[in-house]
Amino acid sequence: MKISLKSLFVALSLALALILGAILSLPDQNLHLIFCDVGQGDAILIIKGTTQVLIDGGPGEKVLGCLSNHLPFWDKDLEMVILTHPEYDHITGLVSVIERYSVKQLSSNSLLAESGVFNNFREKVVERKIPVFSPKAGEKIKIGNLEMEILFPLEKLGNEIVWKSGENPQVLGLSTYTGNFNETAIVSLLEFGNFRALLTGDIGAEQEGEIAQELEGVDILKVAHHGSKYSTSEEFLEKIKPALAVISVGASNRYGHPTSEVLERLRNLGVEILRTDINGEIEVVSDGKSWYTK
Amino acid sequence: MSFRNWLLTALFLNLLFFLRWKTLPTLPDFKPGQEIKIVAFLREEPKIIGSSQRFSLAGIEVKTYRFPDYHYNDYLIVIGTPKKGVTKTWSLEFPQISKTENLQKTGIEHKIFASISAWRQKIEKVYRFSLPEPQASLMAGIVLGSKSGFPQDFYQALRQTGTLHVVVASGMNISLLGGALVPFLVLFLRRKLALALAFLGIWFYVLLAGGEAPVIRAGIMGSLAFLGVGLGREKDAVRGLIFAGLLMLFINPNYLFDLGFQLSFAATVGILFVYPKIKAWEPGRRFFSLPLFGDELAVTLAAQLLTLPIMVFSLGWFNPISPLVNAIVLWTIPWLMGIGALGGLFGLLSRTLGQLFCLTAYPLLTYFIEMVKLFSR
Repeated sequence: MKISLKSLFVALSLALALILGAILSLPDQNLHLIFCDVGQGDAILIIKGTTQVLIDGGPGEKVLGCLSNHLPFWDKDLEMVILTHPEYDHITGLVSVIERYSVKQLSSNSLLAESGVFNNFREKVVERKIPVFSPKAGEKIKIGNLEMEILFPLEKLGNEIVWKSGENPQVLGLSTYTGNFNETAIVSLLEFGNFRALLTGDIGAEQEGEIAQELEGVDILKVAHHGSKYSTSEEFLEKIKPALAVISVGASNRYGHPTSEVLERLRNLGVEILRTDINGEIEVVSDGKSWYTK
Repeated sequence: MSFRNWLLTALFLNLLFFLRWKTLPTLPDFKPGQEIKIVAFLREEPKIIGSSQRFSLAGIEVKTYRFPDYHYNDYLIVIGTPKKGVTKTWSLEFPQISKTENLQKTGIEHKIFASISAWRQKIEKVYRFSLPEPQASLMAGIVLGSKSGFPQDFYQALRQTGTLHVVVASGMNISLLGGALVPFLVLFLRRKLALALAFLGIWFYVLLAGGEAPVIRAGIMGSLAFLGVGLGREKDAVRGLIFAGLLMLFINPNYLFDLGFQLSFAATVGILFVYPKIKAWEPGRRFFSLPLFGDELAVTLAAQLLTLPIMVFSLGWFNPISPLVNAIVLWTIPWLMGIGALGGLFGLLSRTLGQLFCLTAYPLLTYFIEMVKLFSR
């Protein structure tokens, strides 16, 4: 067999590129909090070393690009995925994510939603036997060297069998949740040294009031519900005093998010605002003492 | 052949195709605004494009939401008001769809197709679990011609730069497959048996790659070439091309309106007739003998010259730098096909093994992607 000079050249440069690429994509020791630009929806990626946690997947496949850009190219494991609540603009991208990544754990309420995308998501979670737990306030999540505290919901919601059996819900004796899913959204507080970020899903002012009791002073606030005027109340802001507010929102969306009311409340308190529709992807980096945005 | 024989052949073929055309089932004529109900088995894998999926059901094009997933052999009830498309077909947009059980037995051929389709999905899964996006989709496109699940912006970039054809399974896939299968099988088997198995292998691949017009054309031409070798005859690609065209049109005259069919034939004609002329063109000698890129540039120019009228006519535009982009990226394709095929096969045995193979393709895939992105701006 003759090995041409060309083939040898290509093979060697391939090997070199692979090694170089691997070295370049090795993670640092800082905490990275990335608000992916997924349009009208949420997708938040948290990275610390080789541990990655994804909160929500946005309304489409854009989250995949965000994962490709921030995970080392060989790393197809997600240590945890959190689904704050099963609405379209939070769950859709997660279907594509579990089709491509090996998800070690899923944290989600166990309420049943009635939509094609929820059924598909549930089917895949059951099929892949992904361990699911429904969190409640006060619980701490520790994965690798990442720490998060759950602030909402106050009680475990739903029946975890939803995620364990692919049976028709009626056979399981379960019925679809008829309330407002936004009011069930999982809220978590990410802590690393002195750095604190509050991730709020789509909760409204009432739920904000319930979690604000024990909160004081956070660095980053993910503004709830893409800047809806029924969230991010003045009392709440005064209590938690964020330095930076991040709004995950699509350009010229049909809901009019973020509302001028919320923007004004934030400005009145002198909170810096970053928006994914204007600033694109937003990355916050912290070493546990201070933080900066990229 | 004498003039008289040409004339007789032409007359005979004309008659044959006229008769075939007459026996084609005609499309039902719906009244505008009339609601229809289709109850049928899904006989293809839906294509997922962005947040929608498309499939053809009983001859009617259906566009619907991305979820829930539908698959080959699903028994569907679709209710909606059809619209007339540009190419004399009917289409339904976001109709009401429900999936039901059908107790009717499906034929053995559909069971075979359904299981080949399942294999294809398994191999795609290997890529998706081994590589990030859009690398994984590109790999699935190059090896299997999959166009489902592509990140939309990258798909647009491929289209803009005139490189979308790399995700269409066609001649290069078949010739690489045949070129690898035959020498491998000959190690263990008698020559004729090896050729016969390679023949089966090619048609398995044609189905695995989705059985669209370009890969069928390539499959027929490849089979003829093998047959020629087996019977000790010289292979003649030009005759193979003509035969493939006639055969396909005889079986399904609607191919004539299929863009993939048109492009595939035009490109092959270009490569067979124009490419040698370009290579021999004296002023261009220095370019076309450049290492890595030169030959690709000549091939692309030849293919594009012939596909240009079809592109302009059907898409309304073409990209003048497309031959350049093709020349820059196409040399990676045989490598990616090779690594991808091995990665996919090993990945069926063990996910880790598959991933190890696929990862070696990462730099090439990334090079391809970055170049396409660069030129699509």
